[in-house]
Amino acid sequence: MSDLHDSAFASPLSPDPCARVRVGDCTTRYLRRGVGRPVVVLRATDCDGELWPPLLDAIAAHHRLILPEAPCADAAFASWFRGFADGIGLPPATMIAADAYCVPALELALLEPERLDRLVLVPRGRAEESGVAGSLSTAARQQALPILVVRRGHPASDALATVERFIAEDPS
Amino acid sequence: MTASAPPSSPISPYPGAPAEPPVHLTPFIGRERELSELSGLLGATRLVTLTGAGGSGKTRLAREAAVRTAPAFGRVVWVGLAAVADPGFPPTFAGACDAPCGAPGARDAVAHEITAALGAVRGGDSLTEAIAAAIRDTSMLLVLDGVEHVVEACAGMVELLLRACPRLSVLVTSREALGIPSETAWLVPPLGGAEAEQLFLDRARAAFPGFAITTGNAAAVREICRRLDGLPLAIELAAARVRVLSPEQIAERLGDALRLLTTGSRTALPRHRTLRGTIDWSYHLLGAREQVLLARLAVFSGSFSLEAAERVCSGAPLDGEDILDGIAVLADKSLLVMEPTEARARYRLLETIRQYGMERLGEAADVERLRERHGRYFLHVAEAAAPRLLAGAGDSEVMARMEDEHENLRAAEAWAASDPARGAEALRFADVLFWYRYGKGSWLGTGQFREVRRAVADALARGGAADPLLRGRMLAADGLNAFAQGDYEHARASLAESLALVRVHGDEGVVAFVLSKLGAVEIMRGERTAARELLDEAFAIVRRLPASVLHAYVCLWRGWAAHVRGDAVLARAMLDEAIQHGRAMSHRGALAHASALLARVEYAEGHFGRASALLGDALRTDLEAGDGWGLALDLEGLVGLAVARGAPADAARLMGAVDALRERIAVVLPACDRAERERLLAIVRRELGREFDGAYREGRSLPLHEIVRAACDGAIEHTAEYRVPEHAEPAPAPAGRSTLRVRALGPLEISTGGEPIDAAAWGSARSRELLVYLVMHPEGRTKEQVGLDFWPEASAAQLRNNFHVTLHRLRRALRHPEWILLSGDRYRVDPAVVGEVDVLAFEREVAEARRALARDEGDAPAALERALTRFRGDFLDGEVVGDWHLEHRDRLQRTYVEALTALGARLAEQERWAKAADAYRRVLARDDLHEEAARALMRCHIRLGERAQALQLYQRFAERLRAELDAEPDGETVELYERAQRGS
Repeated sequence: MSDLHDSAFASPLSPDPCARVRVGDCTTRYLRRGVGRPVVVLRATDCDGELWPPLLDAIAAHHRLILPEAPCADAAFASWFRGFADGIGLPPATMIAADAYCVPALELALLEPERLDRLVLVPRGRAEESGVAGSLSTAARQQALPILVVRRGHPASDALATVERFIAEDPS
Repeated sequence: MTASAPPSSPISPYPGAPAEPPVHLTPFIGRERELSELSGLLGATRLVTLTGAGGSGKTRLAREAAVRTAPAFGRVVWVGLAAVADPGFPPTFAGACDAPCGAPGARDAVAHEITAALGAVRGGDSLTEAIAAAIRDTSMLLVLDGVEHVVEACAGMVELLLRACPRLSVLVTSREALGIPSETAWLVPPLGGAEAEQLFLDRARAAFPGFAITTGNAAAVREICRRLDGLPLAIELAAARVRVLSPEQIAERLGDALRLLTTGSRTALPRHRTLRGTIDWSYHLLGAREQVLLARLAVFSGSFSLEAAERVCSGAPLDGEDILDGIAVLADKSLLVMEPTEARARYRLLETIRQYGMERLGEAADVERLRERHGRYFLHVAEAAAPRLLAGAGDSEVMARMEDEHENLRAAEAWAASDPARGAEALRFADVLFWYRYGKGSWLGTGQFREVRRAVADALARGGAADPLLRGRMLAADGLNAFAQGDYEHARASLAESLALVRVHGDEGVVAFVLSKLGAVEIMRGERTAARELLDEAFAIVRRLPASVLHAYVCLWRGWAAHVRGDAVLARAMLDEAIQHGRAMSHRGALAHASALLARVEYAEGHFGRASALLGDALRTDLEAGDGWGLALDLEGLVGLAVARGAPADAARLMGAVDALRERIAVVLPACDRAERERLLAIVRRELGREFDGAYREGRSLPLHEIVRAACDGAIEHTAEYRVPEHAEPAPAPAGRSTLRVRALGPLEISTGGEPIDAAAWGSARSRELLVYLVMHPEGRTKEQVGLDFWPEASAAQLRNNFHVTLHRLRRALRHPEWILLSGDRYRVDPAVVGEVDVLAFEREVAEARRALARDEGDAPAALERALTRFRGDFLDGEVVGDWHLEHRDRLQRTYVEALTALGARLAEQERWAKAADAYRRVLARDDLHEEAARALMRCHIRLGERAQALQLYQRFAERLRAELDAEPDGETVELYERAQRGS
């Protein structure tokens, strides 16, 4: 398994694998892996579940995975994300937001849609709730923003395949 | 808030490393808080990346930070990577291109640039390892500027280097962070309100010196800076328009332009869109021709000359004059920057603007056509320069010019190589760039032998069916590279194949060249008979040819071959002849290499003093020229001398130094020297015992210039006999070369080679005026002095631009750009080419004649009359020129009048009244209120019996005096008049 899960951000015994970006007085640690179209994953560092390890590995295998140590979802999320994205020079990206980051991610999609090319939401759910795909229209965007909602709790293998297919589609 | 002039850089790379940070002509504004924070970051972390949109000021900030933190590092090396790009994937305005970044080509290109900046090349290692080896424990700040298009390549390399080099810190500028552990990306913030306004004011004044922020326009300036998000480049573009738009108009129009971009969005514009909008706005304010020019200029990589711009970018709807004028307009509008060079002007599009221009070029479907024009132009440039890189004086000048065009040459070569249909062009590029690269390979600290060898091999592989002569030359190049790297069998095979081809298809010079190199290879292989036969044949050929550097090198190798055979007489004769040729042509390489080899002959015969003197001169010359191959030859010779004088520790240090040097430039110890090295090594090891390793290591680690200085101070007797003269005054021009003629007394006439320069060739009257100005100041004038006289109202930036455009036109009109010399900071006309300047001749001849007149020499009046005939009229009569000429005009007029008056007086003394009268009439023709002349002319009339004319003259003169000055004639004049009336 890769270094992308669980202890990725905090391992006092090994060299810090994170890069940092400083915007004003705010410093954010993040991991970057892989090459290709950027995919930003927003999730709590203590986020558990079977989905994440294979999903992160799968993303890094084909995309440029950006895994920031995001602040609490109730903090000024949009402002933080704008600084983070500008600070690392992030072009329009696919965003995968889990749990409490789902609503802030949706708000970001409405406020600054040009920063995203597709959105995956992974809220908590139950095994029988597989998820739904759709699109979001905003006044500022010529094209609708594709959205996939995957329920955390749904079997990881099924969810993984769904997400991989979704993010592999060419946004253009 | 501070505004500081560009500081002189405390950054000092190793000798030969061209890794200076860019110098900017405009002052750096503010950013004190950011610089302080950055300095702290650079002290606390080893990798800092300045990020931000294009135009946010990353490079300027990095430069200032590097300069400020330089004292904390042993060395600061600046590597500009903006021009490193796969030509098939040019970066676009919007952002980085991801596809080629991790490709081996991008990695190699990045590694190569860093390698070149460090002067680090090792034979067998990867480039990255070679870079790490070159840095090792050095305390260093490596600045990588503009890496967004090669992020992946840089990320891997920086990660490796930081692990391998514990005292290395790296500062990167990029729109995108590297994203590797230990990196701190730092988003360059917008300028604060006061700093933004200060920047606006500074750049506005550069465009329009009278501009000021007043109570009337302060709000508009504030609004502009706010709308532009404190983005420095956007503010500069807006400020550049104050000559034609008021701040209020700029704010209004910019506001309209930017509002279009925000339609439908509830948030502030991302900064890259603000910049995009501002560039769009600035672009649309350009005339249609300037728009076309801006797009076409984007085809250049790095900087470019005016001439290159004219050649590449002209064509409907642009002609040559449009290019010059357009460049001036674009520079005025801050869309183009002039490089701060004292020599010929060079220009550069900021990378952000270049990418914008490239998009516009793409929209015009003109990219391929421009790339082809660019490629073919630089093929021509390289082909024109190639012969001078080997043959004779001026080599360093040509190398410097090629260095200026390095990025364009590389882009053009890549263009040729990108399509198999251009295989012939690719081979021609490889051929003509060989000597440049070979020279660079020999140059200290910028070794490129490996790159050269690969380029040559690629070209040979592509050009199987090429012109046989071209193939023969490329095989010779291949052989020469292999020779330098000690691969003698490969060298022999390539040179032998080359010889077979050039014997059939080449001229005698090429045959002699290949023969001499093959002979050199045979020396190294120990094939002394073969070497002698080859070099004898080469020598026989060059004796039939005009003297050239080739002659010197054939003699050199023939002398070396004789030395190896033990034929000291022939060796000495050949090397002496090589030195003579080298000296006659001021060719530093030939002179120094032959001196170093002659030192070996002297050394072998026990003449250590002579050997020492020869090596000292060779060393200094090679160091000046940055000739690494030669330095290795010299230092190797000094090892033997150190042993001979009983200084084994010096010998060990020298061995260390020369071994390190050879590794850096990827040149091996010549095979024929190995036995001698082994012998000396054994002696030194025996003498020093365990101390040997320490001394050897010390020699490896000491900067080369310290080793050389120690060697020169401690062991070498100085002698000037073999030194290449420095800054020698130009020799008098041979008859027929003095072809410039300037007649400025009366209607201006300028001719070269006896032919007047066509009026259209000047481009503008100012270039003609500049020539006259420079010939009037034979000691030279600085750019600033010219500016004060020509454009007293212009800002510093406008002055520089105007000066270089005018100078360019002048050089082009003369068709001999080298006639305008730059000595120190002064421009002057090469005195060796000036055949006649009537003003100078007039003043000189008048002065001589008047001295002769004072000595009462009999032919003095005639000489003075001849001198006076040069005065055809006032200085620059009828020309619309600057006020600078008034002082000269008045002085020359005074000289003329005084000389005529003196002539009249002498003729009158000789009672040659008619001629004297003529002289005074000419005085009065220039100055009808000249009372002394009027009176003298009256006397002449009286003496000639022309009393009526005398009286009429008086009456006319008195009337004129009353009308002009409201004055009456002097008493003496009146008395003369009354005597004339009385007939006495």
